[in-house]
Amino acid sequence: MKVLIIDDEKGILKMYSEYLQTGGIEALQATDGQAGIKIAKEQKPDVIFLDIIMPRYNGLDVLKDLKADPEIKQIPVFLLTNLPAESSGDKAKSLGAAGYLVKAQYEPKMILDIVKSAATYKQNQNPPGEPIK
Amino acid sequence: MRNRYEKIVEIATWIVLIIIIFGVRFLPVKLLDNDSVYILIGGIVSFALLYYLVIYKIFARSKRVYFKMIADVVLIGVLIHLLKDYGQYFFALYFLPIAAAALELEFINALLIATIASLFVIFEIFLSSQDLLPGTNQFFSGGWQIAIILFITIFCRMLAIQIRQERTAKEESILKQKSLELEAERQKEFLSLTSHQLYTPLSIIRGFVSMLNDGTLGKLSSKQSDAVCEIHTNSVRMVNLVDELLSISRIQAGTFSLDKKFIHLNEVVDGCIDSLCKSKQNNNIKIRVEKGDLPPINIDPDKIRQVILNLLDNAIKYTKEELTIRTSATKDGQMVEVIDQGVGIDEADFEKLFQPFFRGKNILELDNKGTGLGLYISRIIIEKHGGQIWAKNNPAGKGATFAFKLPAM
Repeated sequence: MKVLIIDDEKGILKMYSEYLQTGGIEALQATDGQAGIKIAKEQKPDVIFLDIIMPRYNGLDVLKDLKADPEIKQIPVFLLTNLPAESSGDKAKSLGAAGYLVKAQYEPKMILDIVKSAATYKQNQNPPGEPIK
Repeated sequence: MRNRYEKIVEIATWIVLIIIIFGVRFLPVKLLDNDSVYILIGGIVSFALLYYLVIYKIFARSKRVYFKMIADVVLIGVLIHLLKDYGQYFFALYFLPIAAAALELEFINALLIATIASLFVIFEIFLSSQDLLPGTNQFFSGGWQIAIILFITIFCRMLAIQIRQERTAKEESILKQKSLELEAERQKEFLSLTSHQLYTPLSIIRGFVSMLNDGTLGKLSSKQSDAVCEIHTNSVRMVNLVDELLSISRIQAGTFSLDKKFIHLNEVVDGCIDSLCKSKQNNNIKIRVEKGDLPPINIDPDKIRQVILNLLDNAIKYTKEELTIRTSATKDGQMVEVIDQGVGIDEADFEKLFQPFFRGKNILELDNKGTGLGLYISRIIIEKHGGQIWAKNNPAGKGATFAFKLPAM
């Protein structure tokens, strides 16, 4: 199982990647939106975690582009950000995000749980993890 | 816009007046004696000077209208007097300054003022008619004329001033509202970015410490494990503190809002119990959960989660062995109760329990780390949902119950 994390904060990338790897999951990393979309197209991960505030290419714009591409639009994308849901939750929902998670509230173990339930999601197409706002 | 119309009509008034005076003067029939016309012209010029030089220069805008009004009354009075028998036909001239005031207003208000002024002028002409009121002398008729002119002038001017002031107040209140909305939007943006900046380092600390704590990054010695456990507990506390402070800032900025959806309240309770067991894993307190059979309810699950966690966190501070959380249906909604077995609430504290920064006497003896904001934020959240939150001591001195009720709709 492959997970792509797109975040400009290297500490966050390292933290979630290490934890996911201990759970036997391959963690792909991208430090900006463009690199993230490129990896998503090449590697076709099972789940994508996407930050919102990133230099140059905002996470919501990345989400829009991910959902506009027929090859990768079926991959569930979770926004994993420290922006409160009230500021971007509705926009994320309208753009087709599978969930909106505030990093400070989600320890790596909870992220692993969400990845596991995302596998179930792929099979029966039910949204996993924290329901979107 | 307002000044332009006012000035155009005002200038038109003077032009029409002067044309009429000269028209009267050069009519083939001798209508007036020469002296009257010269006095009339002198009077009008004096008033013109009074209007544009004295009143405009000396008085502020708010006072100017009243002085202009007095000048108008005197001018019309002099005009009617000098025009003698023909004076009553020139009352309508005063429509021009009235129209100047009315043009600033919306159509309906302007129409109202013009109609009222017309009615008074018609009434005045009717009263001053010698045929309709036989036996009235000229003095009596002139008295009526002046009284009616005075009345028309004051009434219409006052009405125009009042309507203008109301409109200005309305415009100002709309502007103020817009600026408040803009300010609230800025505050919201500021708080979003602040929370982002505060949470980012905290989430990394919390995440890595949780990995050290659960052994993901290798086995720790007993002393290391204790130290890491302390760091973990305190990083969670720090996240909760930032949560509380941001909630307070949102409440004060008026940007605290709910994001409601239909969800099972029992699911929210389960989520709280799960996260509590993770963070309080070293605690031996047993949490009894009694769930009622409840339909989905329209709530903001994150905010209600914050309330339940706060009530459970408080209860854990008091309880040594067991606490109960119970959900049930009420007549018009759903209720959550958190029942502890602690020392209960001091009678004097009941009133202030849900006030900001209040910390109960009993809790200060057990824990002095809180901000005193948790119950206040809980109250705001529940009230925003249209519900109620309260506390009571359990019978036989066995601790206290904190409960809240949420309306079904």
